[in-house]
Amino acid sequence: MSTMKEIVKPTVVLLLICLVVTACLVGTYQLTAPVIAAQGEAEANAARREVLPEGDDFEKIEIDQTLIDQGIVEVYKATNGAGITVQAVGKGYGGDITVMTGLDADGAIVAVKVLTSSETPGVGTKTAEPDFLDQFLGKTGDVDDVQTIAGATVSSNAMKGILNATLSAYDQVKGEL
Amino acid sequence: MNRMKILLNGIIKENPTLVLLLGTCPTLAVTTMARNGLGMGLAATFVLIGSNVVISLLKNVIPDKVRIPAYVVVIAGFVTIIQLLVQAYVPFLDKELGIFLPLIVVNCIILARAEMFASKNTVLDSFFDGLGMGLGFTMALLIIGSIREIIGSGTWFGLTVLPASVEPMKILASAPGGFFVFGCVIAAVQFISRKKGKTVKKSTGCAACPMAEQCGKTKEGEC
Repeated sequence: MSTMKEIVKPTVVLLLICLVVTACLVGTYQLTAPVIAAQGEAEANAARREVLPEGDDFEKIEIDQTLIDQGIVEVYKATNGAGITVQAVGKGYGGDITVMTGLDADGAIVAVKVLTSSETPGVGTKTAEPDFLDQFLGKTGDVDDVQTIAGATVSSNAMKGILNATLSAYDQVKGEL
Repeated sequence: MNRMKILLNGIIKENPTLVLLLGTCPTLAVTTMARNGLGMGLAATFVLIGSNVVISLLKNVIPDKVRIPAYVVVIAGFVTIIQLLVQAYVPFLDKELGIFLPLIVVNCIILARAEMFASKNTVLDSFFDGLGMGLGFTMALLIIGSIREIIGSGTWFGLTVLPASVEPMKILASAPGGFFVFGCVIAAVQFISRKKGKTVKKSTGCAACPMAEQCGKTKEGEC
């Protein structure tokens, strides 16, 4: 009888609690998964329009392995020929930084937006703010002359690396515009 | 104990962060900015209320032997549900909190309240205890976050408050600064509560422990 009380009962109760909690999680996941996915998609489209306001609709351009190795994630071109948007990833101080850049039909940077980063709050995150990002606007070819932020050199250089890769991606796909 | 007292207990007398010194890790990690501190505090409050209520409801069902795993499952479930809901309906908050949102699971304030309060008290009392402790945690994070953000970055809730001629002390926004500010705030709280005679000076040992009153084993000397 004591086996029953000391081993079986606790096990069964714990099992039941786990089952109920799991059921709640499944329910919540089913409910929120489409919302989260739709939000990701809508956010990506909105981000594309944000970095290339003149673009109306976007179409994916296939990229080759050399660009993928440089950290280019995806390249979309505006169907009305306004330019391209490039999503690229690079290694920052706290992890990967994902950046979306809009380039006009001549390959000049229209806007830069940091999608995700895990840089040091208050220090490295300054590389995602307009004061820093505005320096990139209008650049073509490379961004080597952009000033890094004091105290956030690694994050700043990561951003410059990402944007240099972005500009070289433009050179490769400009034939398709 | 009336409910108002339970509520104020968490906010002031047994403030989880500043008096009980629980949940120190998220306290130091997210308080680089006031906004992050506030978001973290509110999310934790939500989990704390939920887990306190559920554990109080189940207190007679859960066998003593497996109570800790049972509490952890309930808490982890709440945190995951809240994480999914935040991702789906308040995505900006998810971005602000990042990894610290799922890490509420390991915030020891929540397990401590389950073990020390919710498992021994009524559902309504546990609700108020969760609310009080959560607000106390939020308030502490907001204070520490504000000090670190104003002095460390010259801004408050993202708004510039220090003139450009004042160079912000960067170190307060990084990890060591978190310890400095945390220590100073604890010292200030201790100083004020002693002045008001709220804390009786105790020697070392079990009686000096801030949890002595709740632990109930002070006399046995085994906390």
